[in-house]
Amino acid sequence: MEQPYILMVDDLPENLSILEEMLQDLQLVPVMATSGVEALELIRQYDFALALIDVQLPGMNGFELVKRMRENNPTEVLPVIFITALLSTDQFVIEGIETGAVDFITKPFDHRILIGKVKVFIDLYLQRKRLENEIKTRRAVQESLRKSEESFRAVFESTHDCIAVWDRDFRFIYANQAAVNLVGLSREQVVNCDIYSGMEKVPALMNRFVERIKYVFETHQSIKADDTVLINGESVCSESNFAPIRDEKDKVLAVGMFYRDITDRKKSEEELRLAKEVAEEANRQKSEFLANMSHDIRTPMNAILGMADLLSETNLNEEQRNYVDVFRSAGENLLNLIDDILDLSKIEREQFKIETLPFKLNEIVEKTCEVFSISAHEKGVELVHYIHANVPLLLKGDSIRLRQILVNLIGNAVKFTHEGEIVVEISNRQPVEEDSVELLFTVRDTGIGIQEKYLETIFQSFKQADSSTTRQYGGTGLGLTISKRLVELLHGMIWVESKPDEGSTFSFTSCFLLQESQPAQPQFEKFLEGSRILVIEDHATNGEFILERLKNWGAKTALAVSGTLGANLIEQSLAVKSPYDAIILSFHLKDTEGYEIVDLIQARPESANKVIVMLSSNNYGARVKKLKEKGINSYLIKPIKGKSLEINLNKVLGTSVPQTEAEEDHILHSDQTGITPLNILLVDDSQDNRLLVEIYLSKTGHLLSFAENGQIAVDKFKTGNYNLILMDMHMPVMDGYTATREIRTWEQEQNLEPTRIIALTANALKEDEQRSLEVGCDEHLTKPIKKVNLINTINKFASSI
Amino acid sequence: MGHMSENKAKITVQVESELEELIPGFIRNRHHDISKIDEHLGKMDFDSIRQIGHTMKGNGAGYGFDEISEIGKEIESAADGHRSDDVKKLKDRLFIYLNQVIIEYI
Repeated sequence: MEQPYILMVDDLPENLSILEEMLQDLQLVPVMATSGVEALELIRQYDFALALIDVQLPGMNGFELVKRMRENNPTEVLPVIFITALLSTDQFVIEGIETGAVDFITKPFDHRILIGKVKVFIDLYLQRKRLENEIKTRRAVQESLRKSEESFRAVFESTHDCIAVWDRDFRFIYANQAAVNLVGLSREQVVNCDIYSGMEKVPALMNRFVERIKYVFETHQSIKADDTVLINGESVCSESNFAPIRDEKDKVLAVGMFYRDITDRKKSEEELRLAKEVAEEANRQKSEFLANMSHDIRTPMNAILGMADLLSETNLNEEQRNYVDVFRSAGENLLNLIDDILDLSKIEREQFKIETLPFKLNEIVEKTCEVFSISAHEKGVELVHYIHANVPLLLKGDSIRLRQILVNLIGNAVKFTHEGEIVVEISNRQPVEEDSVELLFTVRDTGIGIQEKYLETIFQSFKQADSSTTRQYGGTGLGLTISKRLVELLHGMIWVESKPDEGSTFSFTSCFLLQESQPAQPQFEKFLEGSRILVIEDHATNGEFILERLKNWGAKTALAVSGTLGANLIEQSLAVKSPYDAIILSFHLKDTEGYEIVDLIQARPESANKVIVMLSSNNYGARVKKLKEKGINSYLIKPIKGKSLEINLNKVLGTSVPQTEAEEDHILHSDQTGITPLNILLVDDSQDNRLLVEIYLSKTGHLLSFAENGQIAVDKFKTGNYNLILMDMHMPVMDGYTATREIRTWEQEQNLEPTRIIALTANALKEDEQRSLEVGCDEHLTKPIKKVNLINTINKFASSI
Repeated sequence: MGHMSENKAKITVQVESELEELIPGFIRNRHHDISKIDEHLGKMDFDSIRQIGHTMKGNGAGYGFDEISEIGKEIESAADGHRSDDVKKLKDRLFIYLNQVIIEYI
């Protein structure tokens, strides 16, 4: 609180100074006047706690001053102490008291008396001020409460939601305007009347409200409810909440209700639901229509394609042949598109059944990559796959759908990548559980990438990044849609990250069950413990993956990222007489011809035959032949399979091949059992037969090329490097007998060793066999070809070279 | 096949599941064979018919359709003897077979 002001009036300034000095310890602000006029002016300006006034003032004396003061401001009760030497008569004192003086001090005065009297009045003043302040504050609080209640009331009154309060006798204590409108009475009628008469116009609601108010009084709990009742012949939907209103002792005094009419909202929800149903039905019908139409298109398309085949077999000039080729390939594209649409509509009609069958994860991945490796390698793109060592391989699930997704993603990667690499990587997304595992598949490429604005739509039907992509790269744009749906059917997620000109990474997750017998993973067998292995590979990802595998197997490893570096390391190791136990060499290095390093290794007995050569999948036949001449028997075809790497390492290190389940697939997995993969030329005019042999050999690791007749076969033979020819004998243009003779003649002219030729005929006659042997075939197989016979015949030959 | 009648007897053939994707094309090509035989018969071109029969003989059983190999073999021999009525009968036999066969993938 501020220091109180004290007014001192005396015509003699020296008296004023004495007073001031006497009172200086009292924390007062002295204000001095030397005349009555001056004092009156000061009283108008200041709020004084006390006035000390000399009675004998010239002009206006002290009594007159106080009288004038009271007249000017009758409500203000400023205490006045008169100071005088003339306290001689009672009359004087009475006059003083009448003016409102509270005390007299006679001169000469003891300063202690002065201080004591002044102090009393100052204390009184201070107390009064405190009271006044308190009252002021209370008033302000009351005012603000009043205002806030008013504003709440204004809010309540303006809302369209109904708010009402009832007491224990079900009388309305409060109802806002909306509530008044709801019950259909005037405000005056509602207030203080009970719920029964207040709500008689809306009996359906009243009965429910009464029950709920009872409930709240009985249980002290809030209750929420939805109602649909008829009001004035219209159905009204509402939601309401009834809550207890308590006093400070937690006793329920009243029940407040909040009620909202949601009829319109319900109506729009219903409309939306109906619209959604209609849309879903339309979508289902669309899918069905697409499926039916696709079937209907397939039938005539087959006829068109068949006729195109027939037409192309007739005598056509070059121009005509071009036209036929165009409509054949267009027809085939159309068939592919229809197949995609059928797939998609099957998914949309939920006709896809998801299987749960045992499969080997590594086989699915390796075979899928194998399919694409040739087209990738032909473009100079490296295709690498890697399954992390802790990923379980014996799984149960829908391997066909998994393969379909991988085919779509890897196929896209190959299509849109012109240099660099495609890496297919599989890891555990979560730690392996007792009977299941969630896997993360990523297909990462260094291709053309996708602009950010297309990333969102890329999984939608018929969307490639933009329409020019479709023109340039072909395809239906359905692959990713189908993949997304399939991933969802497998309870996984699919997403893409991409940057234009840098590449794309497609990732998806899927859960699989574990097969009951989960054998010890060969990845963890430390069969390379103590071995030192050098990897020469300038392709970083492939090098890393091989290194990780070797380390998991316990080997000490070194990686040379160029041919020069590799050659240096080999020479150093020989110089210090500690040669590597095995060298894994990528044949296609940027800086060095593969044969140079092979020669370097083979030149020294310490390192000879310690090398495993990695070849790309296209045109490896000739290289295999030449490597064999140099004494190399171990090589791998990219992308590298873990099993093949293991077998070849065992071969080079002279350790035994562990007996694994690979044995049971002995015939089919020739490359895994150490049988040389062959470059085979199949000569057959029948497309059905070419496809059949292709399927039969697809799992063997042998590479298959085709010729449709003898003439094409002879041409291909002269430019390719084939280890084996499967020759049909009866063909148009040039038959197998003639073709075999021509090949044999050419080989003699070129001074080449005769290539193995197996005759295929549909004639089981001895003469046919005799005739084929006479023209130079080494062996004879009778059509129809049985898979086992074919593969055994080929492998018998493969293991002999 | 859309025009297959439900009343006719069915013949079930077991085919290796790895060939599943080839089968529709294979069946389609046999329908083409039928139309080609028709065409060649019109020109009495028995050499071409013989060639078709020969190819069928060579392929059918490879896909699991021994009957197609058998029909092919008989077409080959009928064409050799220029027996057009027999060729026609065999062609019909093939048509009926294609419409009766049900493929079970194993």
